[in-house]
Amino acid sequence: MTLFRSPAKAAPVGRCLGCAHFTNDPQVLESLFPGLSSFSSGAASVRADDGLCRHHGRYLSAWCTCPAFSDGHEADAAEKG
Amino acid sequence: MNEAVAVPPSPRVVVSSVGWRELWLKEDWWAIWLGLGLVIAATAAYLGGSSLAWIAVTPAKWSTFDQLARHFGDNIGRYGAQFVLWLVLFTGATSVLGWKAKSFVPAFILLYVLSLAIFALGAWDQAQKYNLEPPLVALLVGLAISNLVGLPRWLDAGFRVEFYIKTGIVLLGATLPFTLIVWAGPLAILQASIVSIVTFLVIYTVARKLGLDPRLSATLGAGGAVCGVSAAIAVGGAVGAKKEDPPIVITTVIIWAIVMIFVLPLVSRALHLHTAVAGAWIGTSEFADAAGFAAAQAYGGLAGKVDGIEGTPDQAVWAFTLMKVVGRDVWIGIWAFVLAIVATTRWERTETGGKPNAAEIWWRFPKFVIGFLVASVIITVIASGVSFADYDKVVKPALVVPITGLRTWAFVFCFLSIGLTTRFRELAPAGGKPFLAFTAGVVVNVVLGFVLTTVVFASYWEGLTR
Repeated sequence: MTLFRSPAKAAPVGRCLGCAHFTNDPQVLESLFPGLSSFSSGAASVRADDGLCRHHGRYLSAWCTCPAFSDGHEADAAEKG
Repeated sequence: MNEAVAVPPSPRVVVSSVGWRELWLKEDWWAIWLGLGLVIAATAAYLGGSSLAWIAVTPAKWSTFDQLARHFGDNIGRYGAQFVLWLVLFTGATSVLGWKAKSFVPAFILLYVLSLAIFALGAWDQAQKYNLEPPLVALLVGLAISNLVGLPRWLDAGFRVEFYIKTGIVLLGATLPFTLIVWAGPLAILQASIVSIVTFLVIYTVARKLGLDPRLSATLGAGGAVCGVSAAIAVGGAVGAKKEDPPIVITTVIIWAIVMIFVLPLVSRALHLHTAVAGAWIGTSEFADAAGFAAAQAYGGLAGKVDGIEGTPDQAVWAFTLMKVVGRDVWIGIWAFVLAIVATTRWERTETGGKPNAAEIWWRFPKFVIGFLVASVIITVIASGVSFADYDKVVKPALVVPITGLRTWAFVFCFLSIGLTTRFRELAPAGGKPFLAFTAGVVVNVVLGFVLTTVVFASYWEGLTR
């Protein structure tokens, strides 16, 4: 296990943080998770950069990897289609 | 899973906020900048022979409307200046965090006016007679407005529950001697750890017995054992929960947290618990910081007003803070990291993966706690060379009381915001099994927390300020 990887380095290709299916904007999450802002916050430190994967329907760490990674073109096409 | 049915359409927005960017993209850090900024300003004013007392105005005790009207008439300039101060600070911070100022400003104006009314009601000399404790009144008024009247959703931009409570906690640090944190901290951690681990295991085990997915079970367990909704979203992300899981846990936590805001002070009152003991119990058995502060402050307000309740209002809030913030909240990163390891090594694999990263312990650390500790150190150092007599006569009125006043404002903003953002009809259905599993944890948590606080460690908590 690698300890204390620096987040300042750009997310490697394949990580959710750089994936087109991934959404982690605080306001978007607060609208998708009713009640989140009542006793916590989308902008809280405890949330780190976690977000929602619209491909797998999971709430996960921005550092996860996945074979379905998309840099944007495929997702755009899927959404339009 | 097909994207078309996975999640409702939403903007594809990604924010990278760990690392240095966290300093301006996370609410916790803004709570530190604002809270510590006010503490430093108060300290500078005190050292320069002045005070922030003028701007930290709060409604004075009154018995007739004439007195109240005279108070507001005499102090309108102070309230106006204070309002502008809060408005500028919070608008600036939330703008950087991404909320629109044109939404925040009108919402905050409403929040301030309602807070002022609730503050004034709490200062009525008959308020106690009618059980009108400001934290509970604020919560109920907020709930009534959001659920019976209804407000436009965009106003939520100004009802930032967590931002206000975190700012208030940093300010609270300035009224809590650092020596007390060092003295009581280890016990708080011990007691909180016992209760947290037992509660988590109960919820997780019951949830699994009921056939729930391990990720949902762990998210539920963390929500009950550590810090409510915040723990649920931290652990939910760490273990890769299904998108439906966090809303289920959020609903369950909200219901129980609101119930406990009323139940814990009520039982404490019936048993005439010392305010420090009640505060510690609430810190052990409430599920969210904001809810716990409402309960602890409401009960602390009974000290000296209800026969048989010993202690001071501060002791209730201090004991709660030590137990909840120091004893439970700071460990969320470790919970998330350990459960992420369990998720990747023991549970059914998901389509997504990744090795757990120990840095998550820091990323998920509730950073506002740093501000709380620094504020405590600052005031403790300032007061260290002063005699008790001078402390009460000089330091307290010029330095501590104004900070306490500002803290109380931040807390009232928070309590009102809880109610204003909690719309029961919009919450996701909790589901019978998750609710049952969580409730099993609630029962064990409340009973075990009560025994540890009132029997095993009672003398320790009662001696909190000795």
